[in-house]
Amino acid sequence: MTRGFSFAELIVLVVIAVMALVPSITLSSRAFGDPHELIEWSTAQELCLDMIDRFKQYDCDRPLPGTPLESSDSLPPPPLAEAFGPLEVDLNRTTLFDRVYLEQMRNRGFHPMPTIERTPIPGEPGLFLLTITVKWESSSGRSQQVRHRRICYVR
Amino acid sequence: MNERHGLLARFRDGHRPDSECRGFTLLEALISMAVLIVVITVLTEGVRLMSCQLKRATGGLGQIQQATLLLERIRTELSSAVMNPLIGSHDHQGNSFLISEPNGTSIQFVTERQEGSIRQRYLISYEARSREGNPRGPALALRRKEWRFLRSGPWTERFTLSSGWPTAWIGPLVDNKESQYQSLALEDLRWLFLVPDSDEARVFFRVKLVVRSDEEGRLLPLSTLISVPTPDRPEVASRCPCLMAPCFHPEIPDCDCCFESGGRP
Repeated sequence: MTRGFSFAELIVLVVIAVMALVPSITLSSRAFGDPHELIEWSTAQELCLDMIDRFKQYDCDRPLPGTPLESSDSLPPPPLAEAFGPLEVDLNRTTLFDRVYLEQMRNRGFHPMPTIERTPIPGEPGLFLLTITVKWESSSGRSQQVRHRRICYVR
Repeated sequence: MNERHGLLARFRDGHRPDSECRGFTLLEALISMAVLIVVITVLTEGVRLMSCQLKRATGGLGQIQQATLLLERIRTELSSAVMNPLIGSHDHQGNSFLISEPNGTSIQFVTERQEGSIRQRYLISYEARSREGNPRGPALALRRKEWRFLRSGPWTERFTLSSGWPTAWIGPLVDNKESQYQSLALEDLRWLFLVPDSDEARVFFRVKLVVRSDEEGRLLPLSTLISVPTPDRPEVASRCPCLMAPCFHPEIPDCDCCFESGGRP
């Protein structure tokens, strides 16, 4: 009636306990480990919000900075530095931030310049739709993207 | 052979071979001790690993949160910075605000806040200084100071960080924080003043900072772009005065349509 555990039962119990502990530790490592994805999403969001702020009042007739010249009649596009992105364009003026940021962007498969689209809104001549998209390949290998849209006034 | 099978069967079933209360054999005791040591080692290592990860994650996330909060605070303060009415936007530097040269690691600007029914002005200073005496610590120490700013109207005078603001304009010190930013582990901080080529009635500040994470010493870059409206804002949102007129189209910016009916827009 009160024989207690046998030796074999004890060993089986210990093995089960270890088998339960190992996945818990692994899960904990993933949960508390390096916040790669948090930093990736945060960087993408920052890039999008910066570019929304930069181009929400940008002259619609002006080509976007750093874009190729469309035709000889069109306005020449301003230099890429006019986008006021996070990276310094002039190599002689780069700082620790630019070096670290560029390296991390490369490691995470980010393009330093997001995709910027300006679309007229049918029936609303004074407004346009500004869409900013940032794409990258996450540390887990999946393709990710963040897209922000905002309706802006034509200047 | 049969006797051996019988012993194994009894061992498997939990029955002791000779009597019901004979105690453990030496082999059982040794195996038990070995299993106990393994279990204790695994448990201790597991708990230690989890504590380390928890500490690192809490520290890392706390540091990111602190840096993000600092950037948000800077954004709020700079967004409501006082910009004097000037002809050229580039002239704001040295007049409306001061940035240290040549590195741009410190800034002083005047910001406005609504307090009750009045708008109160404050002079804000962010100063990043090199830390000396601790080669293993972070490279920069950040100090934020805030004074009441007594000048209520615009000004045309030009200043530098070394000459400073006129003492008559500076009120009492309201806030002086340095220890708050010590755990930030700041490695680099830059303030950039950016002026668009075309007239957008606003200027930009880009703040770039690099913090060092505690455990691995990895560098984490953070940055934000802040737009600040300037007083030379045009009265209309487009080059044509009749933005909402039915005749107006952004792809054909012909402003004549605004004047077709009656001469005045």
